[in-house]
Amino acid sequence: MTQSRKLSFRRMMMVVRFYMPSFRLALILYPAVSLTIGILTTLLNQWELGIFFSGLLSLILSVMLYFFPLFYCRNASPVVRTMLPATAAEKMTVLAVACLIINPILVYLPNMAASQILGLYCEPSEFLKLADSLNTYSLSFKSLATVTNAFPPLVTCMFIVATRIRNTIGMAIGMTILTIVVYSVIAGISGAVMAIHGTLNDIASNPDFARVASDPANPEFPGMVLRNLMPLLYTLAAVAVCYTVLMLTLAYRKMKSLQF
Amino acid sequence: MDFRNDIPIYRQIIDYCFSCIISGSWIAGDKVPSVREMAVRMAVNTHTVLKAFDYLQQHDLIISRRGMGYFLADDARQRVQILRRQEFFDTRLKDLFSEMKMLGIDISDVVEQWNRQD
Amino acid sequence: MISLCNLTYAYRNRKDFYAITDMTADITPGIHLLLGENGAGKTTLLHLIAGLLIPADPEQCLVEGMAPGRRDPALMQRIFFVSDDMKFPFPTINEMVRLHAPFFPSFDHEMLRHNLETFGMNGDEPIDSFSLGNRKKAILAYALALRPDVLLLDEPANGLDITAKQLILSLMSECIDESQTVILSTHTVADFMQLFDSVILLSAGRLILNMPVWEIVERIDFVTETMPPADALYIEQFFGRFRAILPRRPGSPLTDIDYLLLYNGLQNVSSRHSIIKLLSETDS
Repeated sequence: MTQSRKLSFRRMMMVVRFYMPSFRLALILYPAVSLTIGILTTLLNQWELGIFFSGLLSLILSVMLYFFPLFYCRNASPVVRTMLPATAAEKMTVLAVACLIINPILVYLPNMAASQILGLYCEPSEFLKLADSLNTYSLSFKSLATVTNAFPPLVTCMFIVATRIRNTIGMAIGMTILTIVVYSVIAGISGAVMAIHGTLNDIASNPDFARVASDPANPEFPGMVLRNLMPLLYTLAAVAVCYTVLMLTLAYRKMKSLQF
Repeated sequence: MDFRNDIPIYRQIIDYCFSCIISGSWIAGDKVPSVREMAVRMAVNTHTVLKAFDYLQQHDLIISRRGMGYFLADDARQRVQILRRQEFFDTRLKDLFSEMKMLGIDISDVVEQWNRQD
Repeated sequence: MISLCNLTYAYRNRKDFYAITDMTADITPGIHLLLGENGAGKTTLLHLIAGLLIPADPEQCLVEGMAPGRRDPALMQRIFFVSDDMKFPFPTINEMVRLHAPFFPSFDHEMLRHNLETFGMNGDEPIDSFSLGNRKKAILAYALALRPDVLLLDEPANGLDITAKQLILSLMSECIDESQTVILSTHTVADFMQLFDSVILLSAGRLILNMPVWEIVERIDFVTETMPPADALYIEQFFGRFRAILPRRPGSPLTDIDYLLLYNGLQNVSSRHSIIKLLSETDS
C-alpha cells in the first residue's frame, strides 16, 4: 500500500495527459503570440518611437506569463480532480513544471528566437544602441530581472488556482495583480534607496566617482549606477526565489488536504 | 419486470416461477436460472430472489445441488397445480366468502351465476 | 467495507454546527439506500466517504481499512463519486475513457460500450449538447463501467423520465456485482426501490438506522388496512385507508418494505423509539 504513495513517473505522465486538454489552447496560442511579438518588436525597434510600442508588446508577454496558470481552470471538475488517483505531490509537480518551466519557454523562446534571427537583418535604433552600452551587465541583468519580476506573480497565480474551488479565476487575477503591485513598490523603493545611497557612498569614498556622477552624459555613468544596483538585484532575486519555494510548499500542503 | 404494489415482490417472483413451471418453459430435471440471473433479469436485489427460491425449495419444487445451482424437480408441474389449488382455497376463496358475507350474498346465488356461464 | 467510528464533522466556516455527529456504522458490500431529510447530512456523508471532506480525525472514516481523507491513490482508484450536478471535465465520454479511465484498473470498456448502447449513445457525442437527463445517463454509464469497489451516487435519477429510470434500474442490476458497495442517496425512493439490499437513514446529522432490508421485514410488517390496526407502531392515513407499521405477525407472509412509511415512522418522535427498539432486538 505504501508503494502507491511514492512519486510515480508513469502516474505523473497520466496526470500530464489528464491536464493537457485544459492547457492545449495555451500550447498553441502562446508560441504563436510570442513569435508575432518577437517579429513586431524587432521591426519596431528600428525607429526611435518604436521603443514605446515594443514596451507595450513586452507587457503582453508578461501578462501571458503571469496568468498562464488560469488555463488550469478550463473545463475543470474539482470533484474529479480531487479524487484523481494520483498523489498531491505528483499533481503539484506537473502543475509546477507546466507553470514555472514550460510556461516561460513558451512565452520567451519564440520571442527571443525571432529577435535574434530577424535582428540580423534589422538595425535597432540609435537610442537602443545607446541603451545597449549597458552590455557588460546586460545578460545577467536581464535574466535576473526576469526571474525576480516574473516569478512572484506567476507563483501567486498558480497557488490560487491549485488551492481554491470557488471564485478561483477572480481571486487568481486579483491576487496576482496585488502581488505585482506590492512587489513593484518594494523593488522600486529599495532600488531608489540603494542606488542613491550607494552612489553617494561611492562619491564619498572615491573622488573619481564624483567626477562621473556629476556628469550623466559620461558613458561610465550607467555602469556606475548599475554596479550599485547589482547587490539589490541579487537580494530581490533571493526574495523572489524564497517566495516561490514558500508558495510551492504551501500549495502542495493545501492541495493535499483540499476540502469542499 | 414490472411489479405490482399490492403483492410483495418475492411473492410475485414465486408466481412468475410458477407460470414458468406450468407453461413448460422450465423443464423438469433441468437447471433453472441462477439467483443472480433472476435478480438481474427482474432488477431486484438478490435477497428477494433468495426468499422466493427458499419458498420453492421448501415446497420441493426446486432442488439445490452444491456448486451447480438449482434444478427443477421432476414432479414440479403437478406440485405447482396442487399448491395453487391449495392457495386458491386458503386465500382467494376465504376473501370471497368474507365479501359475500359483507354483501349478503348466498352461495346459491353464486351457483346460479356459475350455471349461467357458457 | 466502509467503517465509520464516531464520525463527526463540522464545516470549516460553521464550527459550531455539526453536520455529522458521532456516527458509527459498518457499511457492507451491497446496494444501500441513503435516506434523510434535507440537511440531514447525506451529501456530507458521501463527501466524507469519497475523501472530498476530511474529518478532524481522518481515521474516523475508513474504507477498506484506509482513510479516504489521506487520498492514497491505491484507495482513490477504487472509489468513484457521482454528484448531483457533476461537471464533466472532457467534451466526450470517449475522451474521459482516454484520459481518466486509465487511472482505474477496474474499468471495463466492454461494459461501457454496452451501457452507452442501452442509452443509444456511442461515446463521441459532445456532452455539452446533451440535456440534463442525457448527461446524467452518460456519466452513470461511465461510472458503472469503472466498476469501483465503492460507488457513491447522489440523486442519480434526478431529472430523468420514466423510461430512463427503468433503463438505469436494469443497468444497475446488471453492472453492480456482490463485491461492490453502492450508496445511493435519493429523495424519490420509488425509482430503485426493489434494488436495495439495505437502508441507511440519517436525521439531523445522526445515524438512525443502518440495516439490511430483509432483516427489517423479518421484524416489522408494512400493511395497508381499512381499519387502523391495534398493535401498530406507526399509522398514516392514506385516501381513506390506513398504512401502518406493525410488529411482525408470525405465520403470515413477509411484506415488502415501504421506505416512505418507514422514513415517516422514524421521523415521528413518538414512534421512532419503539420502531428502533423492535428492529434492534436480536433473535432470541
